[in-house]
Amino acid sequence: MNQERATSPLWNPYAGGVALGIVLFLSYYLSGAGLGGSGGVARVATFAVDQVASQQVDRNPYLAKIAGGDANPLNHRMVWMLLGVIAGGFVSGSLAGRVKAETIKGPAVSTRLRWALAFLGGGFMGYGAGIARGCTSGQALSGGAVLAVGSWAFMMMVFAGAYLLAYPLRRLWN
Amino acid sequence: MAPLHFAGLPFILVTLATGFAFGFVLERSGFGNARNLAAQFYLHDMRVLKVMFTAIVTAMLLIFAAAAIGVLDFGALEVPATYLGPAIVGGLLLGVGFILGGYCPGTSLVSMSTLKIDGAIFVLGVTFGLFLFGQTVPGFWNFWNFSGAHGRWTLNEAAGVDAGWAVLGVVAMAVGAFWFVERVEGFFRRGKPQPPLSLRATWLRRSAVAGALGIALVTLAIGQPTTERKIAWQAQALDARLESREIHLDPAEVLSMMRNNQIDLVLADVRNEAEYNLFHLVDARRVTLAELAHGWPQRLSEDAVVVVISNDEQAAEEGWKRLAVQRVNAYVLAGGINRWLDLYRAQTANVPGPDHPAAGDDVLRHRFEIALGDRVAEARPDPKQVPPRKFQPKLKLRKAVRPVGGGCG
Repeated sequence: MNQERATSPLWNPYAGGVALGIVLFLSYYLSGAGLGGSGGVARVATFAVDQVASQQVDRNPYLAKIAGGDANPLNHRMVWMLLGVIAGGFVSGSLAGRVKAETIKGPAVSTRLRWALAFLGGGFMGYGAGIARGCTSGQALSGGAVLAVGSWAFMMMVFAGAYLLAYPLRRLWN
Repeated sequence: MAPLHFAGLPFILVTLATGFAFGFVLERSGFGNARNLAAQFYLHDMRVLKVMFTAIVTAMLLIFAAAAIGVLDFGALEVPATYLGPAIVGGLLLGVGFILGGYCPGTSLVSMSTLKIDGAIFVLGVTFGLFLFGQTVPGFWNFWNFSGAHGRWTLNEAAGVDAGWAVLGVVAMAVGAFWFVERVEGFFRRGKPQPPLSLRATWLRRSAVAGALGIALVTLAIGQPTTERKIAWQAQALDARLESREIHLDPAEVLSMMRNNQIDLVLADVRNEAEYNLFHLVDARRVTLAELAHGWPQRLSEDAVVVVISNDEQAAEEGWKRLAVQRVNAYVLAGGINRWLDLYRAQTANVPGPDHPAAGDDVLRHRFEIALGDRVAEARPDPKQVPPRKFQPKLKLRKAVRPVGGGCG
């Protein structure tokens, strides 16, 4: 442990929340829309499909809206936000000494299993974010702040789903 | 009035900066580390709920307080459309993904940016999940698009009250939730007790709660702006648009729109009932100015184009203001019914174009012996029967503000 660089402590969660709330307000104030995480990823995924099978994209009503015909799926607000999030996370992590190649996992889980579960969990998240038209950032956080009914229903279900599985899968994290 | 509208490079820079701040705050709050996040569901560190709820409360207070005092136009903000069925199914899937993978899409990006291998693999998983969704969504297209679909729908609209009440309710609920989770944390952390709060921290928390409740109460007391207040705030901009005549449509343009089934056209006739009964355009609906100000626009589809009609232009322009501040794509029939009848009934030569204001004071100049309503040819003349007319087209169709897409934004 003593070989590790000292990492600065995390912000108090309430202070972090206030800062995040101000960022969210500024996003609405400056551009009329909230924050997002998975929208940019969806566009990158569609971009990849478009490179390999462009006709398949044009025939699919969902994908065609993003990248049908000549439309460039990467020319979108969410892709810029995606780049910003990565840069912001990296700068904050470097300043705090938290940039380090490692695998975060529960003590009882092997690294291989953790990787497999990360992919599986990411898959569930991506599929769910597609169905819900947004993830915890775009739906729960942004929609919650403007009091959208669907966003609050969504948020409650995220917590419900996670708490239902938390106990049976407790060995993954504890 | 905000929101501001950037385009081109400034828009990209603003979005990059917003994303940067978002990523920075997430990392600082510990959201780049799956164990901090998963701790939420094992009840010994409820960081996730605290950060999320504080953020929602902070942004909500700022948004609705700014809207109440006229700094921000709430109607111009993107409110995620409500689709209850997909929200419930998708929410459950995200909950499952959270326990299995330990991140959500936004936090996994932050985790990846600080070189966490599990975070990067999670991002790949999200990409694959979204790819799979794109391939399979045609199979449940109707569920995805129509199950519990309510469009733009907020909690206060669902409850039928001013948004201030919902704001106050959410603040009260959040404070209650924070109090509760602090207790729960204390219980599940029995092994390593937290040091008691310093005097300063206690004082800070109490004043934050008092401040939040105070802002919520003031927002509630002022109330969200009514149509009349919005007109008063935006008077200058509205008058400038009327002055420029960019929203006055030539009768011939309105006629072409009536014959175009690709346009969701609504003709709003704001004259009194007697005049409406004497003569009105085919499919025109009679509405009062008061109805235009309250409730009526909410029943329009998002793509609706409304043309407001009076005998000349005065009343129609009043009606147009009421619709414009509610962000309806609204226009005024240039010259009103009088000019329409000059053109299509009396067939007067040299009827002025839409840039020419009507001088009259909203009195019907044409005489009708009996109330024929729209059962006369001039209520919707056959374009082949009337002399061709040149006009400067003014109609601008709004693109849907945002296509129904998956993923955030």
